[in-house]
Amino acid sequence: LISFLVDHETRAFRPARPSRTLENDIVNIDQQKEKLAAIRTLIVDDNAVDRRLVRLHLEDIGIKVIHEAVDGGDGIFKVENAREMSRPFHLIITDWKMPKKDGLAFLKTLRDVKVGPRVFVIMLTAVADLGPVKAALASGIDDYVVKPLVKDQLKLRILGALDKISV
Amino acid sequence: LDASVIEDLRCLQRPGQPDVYLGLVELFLETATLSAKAVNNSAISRNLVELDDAAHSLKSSAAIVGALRLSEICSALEAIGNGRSPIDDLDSLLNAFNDEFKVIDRALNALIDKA
Repeated sequence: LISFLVDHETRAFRPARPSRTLENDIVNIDQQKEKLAAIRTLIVDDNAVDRRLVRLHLEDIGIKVIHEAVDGGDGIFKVENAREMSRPFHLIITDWKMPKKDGLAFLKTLRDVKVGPRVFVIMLTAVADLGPVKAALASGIDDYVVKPLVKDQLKLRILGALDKISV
Repeated sequence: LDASVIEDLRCLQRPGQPDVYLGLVELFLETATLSAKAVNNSAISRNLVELDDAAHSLKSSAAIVGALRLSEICSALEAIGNGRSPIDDLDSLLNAFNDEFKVIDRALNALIDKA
């Protein structure tokens, strides 16, 4: 299951290309240093250990502006607050299973409210929860990463999507 | 504690910065005791919704600090909580959970003390 990625055009699952490594993307990181530093990111996760780990991965590729929310409700509050300050988020990394407002409810609200330029959303999900990925795709996620985060998985997804992240 | 998980985290370490792994362990220990209590209370009272939430949360953070067996037990408890597994094994799983949690809690606290 881990070896499946989302095909953005067909919205279907397809086998991942296994050849990509972070080493191949080092050039990409160097070339995109300024863009990475400018990306405003929001992590939405009820688990503090998960949030810290995601933050560490983001910082490792040079993302500097990182905010955190403890559930979907807090996430929407922070998205709206950022929009009001004219500093909307460009990238949101959200957990799926959270108390109060879960990832799906968060996404639905997120896509309903005008948050400025379309924000790129990556969902984190456990392998056993891959069923809801389909629902999340319908709700507008752009990509997903399976938890627990392994090595460079998340970083590669972000680097691979840089041209789709508007800053 | 799984050495390969800890090794993977080392690649996120930056010179002159606090130890990445120990930082995650400290965060884990701050919340794990409460989460373990929530697992026990919900299992004993057969509150499956709360068991699902409590086990899910601990499953993820345990895996991050390398406590893979604890994470696997949490995954099995979560499956009971959300109805994917029958409730028959709940008591034996809870015993296994408590035994493993003690081992991990002791090992992680020893790491912090040593640092």
